[in-house]
Amino acid sequence: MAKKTNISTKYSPIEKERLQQELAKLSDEELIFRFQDGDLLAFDEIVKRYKNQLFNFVFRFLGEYADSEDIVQETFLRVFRKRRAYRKVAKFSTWIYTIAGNLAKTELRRRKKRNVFPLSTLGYEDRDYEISDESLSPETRTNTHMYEEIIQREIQALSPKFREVIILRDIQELSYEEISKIIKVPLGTVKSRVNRARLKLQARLKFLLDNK
Amino acid sequence: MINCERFTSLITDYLDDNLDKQQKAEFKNHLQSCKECAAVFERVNSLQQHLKKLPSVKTSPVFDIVLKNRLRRELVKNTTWNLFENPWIKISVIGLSAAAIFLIAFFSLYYPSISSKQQQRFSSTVSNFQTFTDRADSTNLSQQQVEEKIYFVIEEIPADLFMSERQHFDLLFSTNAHSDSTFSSLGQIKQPAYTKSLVTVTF
Repeated sequence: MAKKTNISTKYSPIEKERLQQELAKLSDEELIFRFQDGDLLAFDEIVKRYKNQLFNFVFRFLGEYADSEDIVQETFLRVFRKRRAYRKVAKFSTWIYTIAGNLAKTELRRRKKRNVFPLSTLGYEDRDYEISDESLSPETRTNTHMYEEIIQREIQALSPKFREVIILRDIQELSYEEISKIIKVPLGTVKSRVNRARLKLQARLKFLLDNK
Repeated sequence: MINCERFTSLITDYLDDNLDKQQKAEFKNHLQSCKECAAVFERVNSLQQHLKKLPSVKTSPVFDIVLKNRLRRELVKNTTWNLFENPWIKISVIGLSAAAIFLIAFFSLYYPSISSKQQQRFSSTVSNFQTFTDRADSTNLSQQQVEEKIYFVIEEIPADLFMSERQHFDLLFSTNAHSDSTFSSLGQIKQPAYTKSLVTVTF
């Protein structure tokens, strides 16, 4: 049974560090249950664990840095508000990915209505974030950037239903079962959708994949 | 023997090692015999590697600060809202709201009677003032005497009304100050705009 604490509990720095170390050993589900009992540090740990992987997923899906960050923020706010809605029947990761995925799809529909195009359709020089590997030579780094940019652009060109599964499977490396629960589609459909998404993407990236 | 369409539909299952022995054998046979399908297979295989190698993008350094601020606002909202979960606080708030509504209703019903008394008093003041100015033209009062009378009349006007309608009185005095004919300028108050503004004052 998780220890009940007041939601506004304040900790001393030493106590906080000790609790953080303790929380780092817990599973996602244990963390959310502790958070349901009012432990805010458990929520901090959830944010720490998921912020980058959710951001990666949403960014690959939307292709826009600022919007993706907003969506991840909104995802955590929803988790915060709806913490009581989480039940043990589902994995926590499934639940949080479903929230983020739904918000990302809503954003996509909103953009479609307003004819908004992501900034990633600009050249790779225009992006405002740094993901370079410093161990590579400048030339290799430039080429790597270019390839990444091309792949990202072609992922964006896929329809959302193919884009979603290929990101979840090949970039986030989730299991078919989990993807099936996240997007609420039968397992067989997920598998065939992943296969079709890969076929579409390899056709679009033929020039790049054949030359490498 | 499988065809090209069947082959491409099995690529993912083959890569995930989900084919049975016979399917795997047929898949391999087609792979060796069809150059186009072999190229597709190679590209899918290579694509998977590329996707796995894509760098993981990270949130900006201000992400945590922004999120914490938003959560703090959420907490404040929650704390305020949670107060209402206490039945005694809920009953007190409902009781106080009901009392406030009752008091507002009571005063809004009572106030017009006070206001109508003031209205009557003010109307008679205005009426006296008009009668006075009508008569002023036909009498031999000096300007000083007229102004004294005006001050006297103004004193009878309720202070709050005088303040709210001050611009009209200021206009009256400024007209007097620059007029050659005392009584004709005093007649200004009989002009429709001014009279109307005095009469239609609401409390």
